[in-house]
Amino acid sequence: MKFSHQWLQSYVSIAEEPARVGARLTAAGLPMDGIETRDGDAVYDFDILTNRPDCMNHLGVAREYAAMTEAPLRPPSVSIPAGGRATREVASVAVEAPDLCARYAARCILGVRVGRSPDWLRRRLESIGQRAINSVVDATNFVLWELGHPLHPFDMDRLVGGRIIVRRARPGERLTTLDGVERTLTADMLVIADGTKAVALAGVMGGAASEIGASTTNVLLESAWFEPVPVRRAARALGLHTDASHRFERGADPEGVLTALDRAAQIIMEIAGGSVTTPALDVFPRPLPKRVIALRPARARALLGLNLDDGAMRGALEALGFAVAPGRDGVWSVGVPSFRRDVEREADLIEEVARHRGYDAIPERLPVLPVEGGERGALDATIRAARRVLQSAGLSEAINYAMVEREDCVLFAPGVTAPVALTNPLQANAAFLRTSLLPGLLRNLAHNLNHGLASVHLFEIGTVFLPGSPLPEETPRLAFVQAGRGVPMHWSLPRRDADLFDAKGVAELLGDLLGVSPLAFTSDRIAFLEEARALSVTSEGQVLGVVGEIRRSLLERFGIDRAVFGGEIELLELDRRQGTVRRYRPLPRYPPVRRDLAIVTGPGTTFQAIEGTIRKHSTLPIAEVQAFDLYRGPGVPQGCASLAVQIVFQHPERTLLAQEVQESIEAITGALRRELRVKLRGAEAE
Amino acid sequence: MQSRVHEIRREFDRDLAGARDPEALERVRARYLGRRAGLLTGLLRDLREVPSAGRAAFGKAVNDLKAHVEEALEAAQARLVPGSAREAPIDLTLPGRVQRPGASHPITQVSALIEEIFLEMGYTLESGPQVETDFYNFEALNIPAHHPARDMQDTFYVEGGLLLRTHTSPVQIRTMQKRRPPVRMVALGRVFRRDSDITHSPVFHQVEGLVVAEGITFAHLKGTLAHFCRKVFGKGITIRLRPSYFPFVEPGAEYDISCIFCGGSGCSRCKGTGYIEMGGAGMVHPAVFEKVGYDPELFTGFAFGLGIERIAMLKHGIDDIRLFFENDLRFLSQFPG
Repeated sequence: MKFSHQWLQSYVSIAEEPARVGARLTAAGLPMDGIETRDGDAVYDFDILTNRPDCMNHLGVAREYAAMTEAPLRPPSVSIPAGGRATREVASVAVEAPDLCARYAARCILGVRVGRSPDWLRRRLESIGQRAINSVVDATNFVLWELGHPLHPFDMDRLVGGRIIVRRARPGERLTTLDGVERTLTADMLVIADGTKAVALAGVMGGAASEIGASTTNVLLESAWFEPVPVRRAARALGLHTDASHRFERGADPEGVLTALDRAAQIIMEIAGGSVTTPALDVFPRPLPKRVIALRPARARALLGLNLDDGAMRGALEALGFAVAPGRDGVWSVGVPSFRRDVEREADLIEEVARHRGYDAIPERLPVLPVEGGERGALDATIRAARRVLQSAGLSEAINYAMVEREDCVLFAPGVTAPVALTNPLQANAAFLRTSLLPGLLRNLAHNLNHGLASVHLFEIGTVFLPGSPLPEETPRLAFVQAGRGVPMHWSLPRRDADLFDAKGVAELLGDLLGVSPLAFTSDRIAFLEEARALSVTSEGQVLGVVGEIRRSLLERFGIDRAVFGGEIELLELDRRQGTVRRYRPLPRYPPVRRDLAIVTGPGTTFQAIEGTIRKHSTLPIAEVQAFDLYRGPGVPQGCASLAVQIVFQHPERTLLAQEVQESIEAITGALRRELRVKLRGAEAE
Repeated sequence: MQSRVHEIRREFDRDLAGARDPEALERVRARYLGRRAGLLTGLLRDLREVPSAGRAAFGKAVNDLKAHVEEALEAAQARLVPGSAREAPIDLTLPGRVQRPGASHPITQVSALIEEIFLEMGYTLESGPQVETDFYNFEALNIPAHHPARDMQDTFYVEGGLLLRTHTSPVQIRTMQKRRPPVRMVALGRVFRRDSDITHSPVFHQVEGLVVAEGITFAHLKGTLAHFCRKVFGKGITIRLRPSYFPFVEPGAEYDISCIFCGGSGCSRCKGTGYIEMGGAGMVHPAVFEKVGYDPELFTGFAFGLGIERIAMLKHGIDDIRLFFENDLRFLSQFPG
């Protein structure tokens, strides 16, 4: 909101530089956003907060400045010459909806000549970016920016019978507002009507039919106090936001009604001629009580943590316009000025005291509270651990918006048909809350590939939203995607592309490092994963998530033209199944013996079956069975592969003999040939 | 022919044993492996004349010998020539081999820093849903329906009369509802505003802090914020509180830190004011205590909030908030850790 330095000086002496004025008012709670010089005047831009409608005008800001500098305030002098025609002879006011309009005052100015405003008035308005229109309208705008009270001038000859009726709109009643738009009103809106029709939308905007124009000769000037909430409702319902509605919905000063009316009438008479009717009509059906609040100075000191004596506190309040009456038992009665409708209770008065002293006066202290360790939730620890695991696997963390397209919700969360919807999305393609983290990650992946990255490994830890009641079910998950070159990338390693086993490895590492045991992978059919490239991740029958290759037909949606691998895991399940404290196992005291087998496997023979057979038929305890090479090509029949496996024998109580190891190997190879029908390329010692 | 191989091997072993300096070693190398006159080179040439029946056996013997010679020369080289490695010289300028960890998101990193600071001070970490009711997001925070303060927060509404929380403040209410004072909590999380440009994102992250106990003062708020800001931005930081308005606190404040770019003398980053805005704060409004059943006469408290992206932007010099949500690896990899 713009304020002119010169204009402010009409009401208070300012000796300080504009920059200093801005800093002082910022410290008082009117934050300055900027300052510019225009025609030798400094124009401030203050961000006047919602609770301070009293400062949305020059006198209000000057009042604040005067309070802070203890300079006297000089409000404009207002006087209306006596002896004019009686207002009630030419106009009447009836308030039929006193619950919405607590006060309505009017005067008429008869015989005006509407024209161009004098330069001083135009300069004032233009200095703060307002457009001069005509003398009558400019006068009311000037008063709006001077005193803060919104006024409305009607062309009185357009009001049937010179009547003002403040009533609720009739359902479907129409009114063309000053902006030329015909509006259909509802019964909860307040209108100003004449004898026959609505002529203004109360507190929001006047009607076009009674607009002041060059031909206007008689003016009826309105100054009223409208109830804030209905003004706000009406303005929002019609998509209007005006200087008047902005002030009325924040609370105008009911005591300022007559002053503003007279001030504007006086200026109109000065610049447009005519004579002012007198006395003003002042219908005040619902007096707004003066507020008196109890304040305990001791409480103020205690809340602020500031040692401030009673005298200083009283001085601060009085400087700000409050009437302080000290009472018994250290309780003061503080009268609130009518323009400060935001001050409602003791805490508000305490803020006023602090504001006047300046928040800089408050000391810095740390609270002393019983010693208690800070606490993290269990899930939080799991999330932190999972994040470390994913990072260590070479994946970087993404954070995506939660708003996605409907398709994203449905395709990646089979079973969800009605995802949680926003009623006022910013964009049509972001109107639903995500049911999976994968679509966001796939979009990030496409972005990175399109920018020329050769290797994209990303994960996200976040919430998905599943339909639920009363609130949607917010489920924490982790998901990851991998495409392009596999990691690590190094000159000493062969180049390779990421594949399914990168994704599986990530899930395995999560299980291992978080102590989820046993973790099992089962081939499964998953709607968004490729056939025969999809695994369910389970632990003791409970599904934790999935890993696999993203279905290629889905990737088109994201503009991705290469294979993508990834997975999604439920964090709550991961957390629930997380291992507790790890138990120590004594170290083996005898050396292991390693033997390699090269097994020619046909289609359908799995490593899992081979490992099972080896463990089952070994005559010696086995510590580990490890696949270390898979070869296809010359020397291996078409459709088959040679799988190299290392068996680590380890006996807890003795050193193994070569002979017994050989016997075990023979038992194993015999079983492999017999049960799995595989060929062996000979057992070798390492 | 085989005997010739054995003979050369014996000769070589003897010659090598006699070589006591790098020059002598070079002479031995030339005598056996020299390209024209080397004895081994000669043997390989002879291979062509061996009848095919014995060629395989002879070839194997020669190759074995060659391997022996090369290995022995290598070992002698390492012994006799200072600085020479066992193998051929390697290019030490090639990069090393390790699995580089991925980066955590800068928002995560800043969040972790903030969490640590408050955990050290005995705060608990709390959380709440992102889809909220009007009661928790507004009503209980002293922002009734049709309050103009709702204009400050453009809200996304969710079907069924719900909304996406516009701030982390609902977590204050949820925490106070389930716990008696003293309360010391922070809540970090996602919030949503219907707004999007270079400095506004429809999704961003906030920290909410709340302390409620007997005898909590505005000075405690100021001290806590000062401590926090110094932990994040350095010991030399000063903080400033200014009166401001949030319906759920009274007195209300915004807090600024002395400009981290110019130290407070005024620069373009702080628009010449010497200060940078951090967030909002204040003493918990008694109406809020009434909503959660705390006695405002017995307990007082303070609350504060700030944007995590804002801290990350200040710390790392990031000028566009949208970068946080593009997840471009060229951006993320600038913040390893």
